[in-house]
Amino acid sequence: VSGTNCRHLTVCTDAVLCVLLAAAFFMLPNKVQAVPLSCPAEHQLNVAYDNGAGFDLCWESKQRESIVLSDIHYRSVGKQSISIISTLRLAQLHVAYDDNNITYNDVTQFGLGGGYLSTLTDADCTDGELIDINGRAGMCSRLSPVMEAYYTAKESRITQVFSLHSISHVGAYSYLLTWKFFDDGSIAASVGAAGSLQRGSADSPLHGRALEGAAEKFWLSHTHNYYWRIDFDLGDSALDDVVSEVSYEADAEGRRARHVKRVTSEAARKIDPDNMLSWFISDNAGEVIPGDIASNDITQSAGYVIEPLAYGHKLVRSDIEPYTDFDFFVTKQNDCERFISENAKYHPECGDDILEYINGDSLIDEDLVVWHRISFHHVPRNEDRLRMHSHWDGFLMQARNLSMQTPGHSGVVDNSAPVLSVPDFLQHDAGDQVDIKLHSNDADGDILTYAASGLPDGVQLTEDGTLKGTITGGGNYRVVLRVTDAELTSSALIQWQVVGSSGNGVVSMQALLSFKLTEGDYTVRFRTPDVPTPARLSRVPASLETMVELQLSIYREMAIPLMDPLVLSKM
Amino acid sequence: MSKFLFVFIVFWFACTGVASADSCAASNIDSDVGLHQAEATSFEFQFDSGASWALCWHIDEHAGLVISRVFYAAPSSEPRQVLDSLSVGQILFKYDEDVQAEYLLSESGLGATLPQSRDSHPEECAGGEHIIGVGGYQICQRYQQLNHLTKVRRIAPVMRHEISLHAQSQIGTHFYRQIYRLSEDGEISPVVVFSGRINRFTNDPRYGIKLKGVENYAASATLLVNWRLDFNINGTPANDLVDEIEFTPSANNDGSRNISFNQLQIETARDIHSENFRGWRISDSTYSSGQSGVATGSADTRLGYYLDPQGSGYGYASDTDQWSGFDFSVTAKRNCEKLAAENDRVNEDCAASLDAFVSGESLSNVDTVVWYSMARHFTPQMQDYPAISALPIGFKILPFDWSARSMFGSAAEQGEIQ
Repeated sequence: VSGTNCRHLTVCTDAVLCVLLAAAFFMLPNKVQAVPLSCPAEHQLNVAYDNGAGFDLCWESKQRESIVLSDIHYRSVGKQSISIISTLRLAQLHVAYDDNNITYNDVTQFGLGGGYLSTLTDADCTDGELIDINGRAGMCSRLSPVMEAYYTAKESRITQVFSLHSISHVGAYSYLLTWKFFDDGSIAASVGAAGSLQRGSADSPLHGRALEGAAEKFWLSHTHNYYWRIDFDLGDSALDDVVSEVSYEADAEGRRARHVKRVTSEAARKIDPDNMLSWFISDNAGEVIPGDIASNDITQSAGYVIEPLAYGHKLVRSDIEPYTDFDFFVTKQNDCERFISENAKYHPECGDDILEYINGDSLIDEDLVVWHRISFHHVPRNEDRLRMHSHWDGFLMQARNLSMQTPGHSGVVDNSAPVLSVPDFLQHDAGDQVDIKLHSNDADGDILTYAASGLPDGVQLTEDGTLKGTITGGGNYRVVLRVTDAELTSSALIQWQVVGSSGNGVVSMQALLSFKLTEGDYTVRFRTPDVPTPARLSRVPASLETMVELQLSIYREMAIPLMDPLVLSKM
Repeated sequence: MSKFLFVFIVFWFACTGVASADSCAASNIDSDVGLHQAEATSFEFQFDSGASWALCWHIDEHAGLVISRVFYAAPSSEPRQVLDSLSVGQILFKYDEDVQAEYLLSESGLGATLPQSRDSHPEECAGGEHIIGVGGYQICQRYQQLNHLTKVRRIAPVMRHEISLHAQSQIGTHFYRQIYRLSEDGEISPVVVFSGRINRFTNDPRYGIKLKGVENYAASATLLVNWRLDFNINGTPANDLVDEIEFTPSANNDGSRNISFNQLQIETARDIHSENFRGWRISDSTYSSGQSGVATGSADTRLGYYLDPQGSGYGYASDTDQWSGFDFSVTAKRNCEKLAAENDRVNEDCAASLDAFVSGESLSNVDTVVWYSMARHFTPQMQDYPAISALPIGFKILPFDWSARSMFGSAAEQGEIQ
């Protein structure tokens, strides 16, 4: 198998050829220089996309996992290559049949490489390149367009994906291990399951289905559980990666504020669909973080997001395999922690399954490994006989902030959003007259229009952006102001306290108090006619002169207006 | 050699009743589809394997691209009807900092915002070709090889191909691309792809992300897409059955699971139950793909499709949108019930939203409509500026005992496998 002298894709299988190809690249308009990799030339893959980005990585074929990818580097448009992943592999292929007579751990029981690796034909690799593994075509690489990159009124683009796949025959199944590398830096891992149905039972109507042409037995339903192990090494150092849980929890009115919580010690985690939980793996050192963004918000760092978006099926067998309770794991890198289950079979010096790896070790300044699983429950249907129609399962590691702008986009922005400058907090007495002109700016000089919601009673927003009127009601108001140039909108939030007069059910507020709180859980007790500003308090019903007890999770400094009497104590 | 082949076998299609220019006339489309123009446009496609799709399409002012009278034929098989119509039922878009959501189909309309000519952007149909339908609307069709459809050791693989139809609507600076992906093995994947330009910025960091060169925070948002699937399995709409299939762990916790079929007898709204692998089968009560061709019990191989929620990840629920708290609903069909939210805004004298459509009415011997929702979160990042990286939201339905066996591969090969 030879390399491809192609602008888009270089598969180096020969050192001399690689040198020639590298030289050829320098002569191309989108010239790129591949990063030096740690593996022999014949195990290197160098990918250059039309948009100027590229991947460089190594591969090897292992008896257990089959293809293992390593030393993965991504080069965003106009940037130097950066390290992304140290190793990426399938860490188990667990198959649980609904009759529970047999559970397979295919990776450790049989292995997907060696003699289980299929020799590919041209028909298995249309429009691609076959890659030699130990003297036979064992892997297929392909660079192809995929549909969706982005669409705007003036620019649209199709994205490209570089894919690798191999096929392993285990029992009656054919597993298609597939890795995809997108031109924006995202990486997808998936497995296609084909072949034919493997197990049926004559006396298991509760666990299977009788299919046409083979009604003498019930073809058993079963679950494929795919576990991947990803040793992220973002940036120059393997010891400064951070894993965070990002969620969007709705308050009583439906607003969803972002919550970011760093995972600081080895952990097993579950999905949380209602709060749209995702996991973000980022580089903490800043070498790939754009320098003009100063923020402690980790979500602005460069890294990868894993959103558990294929979770309509989830195998949980707590009593038999407790690790199936969890969907995502973070551990400290340890070479002998290789498989999600049956690990001790090959590494007796280490634990046997993933839960044994999680022993509370700190993840601060350590090399981190994340593990993720996807389940698919297969209900046999007629179409599965005699050739089973393949089903595909996997997940996406979505690149975030690896590029300074949309990859491939011209960068031209013909309209900038207006900017609204307002105070964060206002305080008035009921009966006050207000006349507050909103300050806004539009770089394009567009005509601006204003809108507001949640204004105190008696206050209106005029067309020219002035808050005007006599305040008639007391309370705490969450006012959202908007300014638009007819295309783009900027919004601003104001917390507006209005102190009511006695006799109308509103108690006077005392001055705003600010507390700097460290991370932790607190109990706040106070008497209040109304719940003060932080959204996390808004679920508490307002109750005059009623003692309210709350538990707060506070992640950063907050200014909390509170009334006397006040008790603030750390739990 | 051409990789795909269009066929316009007018007489054959006319005989079988599948979509053709005549059958796509407004008078032949179920009144529920709600054509505003004279007629829909027919579309037919046959794969090299012999599998084929035939359907009608048109642009609805609110729902955008609607496909109707959808027929699928497996290789060497006669075409059978799958759906009377398939369309987006609503797109709820809510910025995280807002209390109120936007309802795109009723407020703007995907059809009303679909440009009638987009020739200036050929890349929107890269790898495909534009087709123009009734009313001058232009959509894109694209043919693709996807992956291995079958792979059995020692036997040549069969690759999976699909034909897809795309229509792209623009609402403000946002783009919504509706895609109907039709695989040669009968899978149907409705997809909505969100892209365009970020158009909301906030001063509150809890609800946005700072981007390079932008003063404020780009606002994050939730999208909830609902689809409306009017099944008509094998051309007899009033006898379709909807079964909820679950695989419940046995009481002794030994790891085994028992299959159950629960026929939904009345209008119902349901949630995904990922640990029980809950899914829904829509099947014909009369016909089977078996030798007799006649359906008998609930667990037998009736002609049907399976809505597998495996690709579902996030949930969305709101007190002001009760319907949004459910993933799957089935209703008795009423022609005026078209949008999952703000339906009464475009269909006066009709119920307002999907939760009101689900009123406990019997599903016995009536035409049924399935509604399915999926949520995704849009968290802006630097790669979303100036253009939002495409954010797809979609699911699939797949043939479930549509044929007596896989129709891909020769009989000799089938024998070898056996």
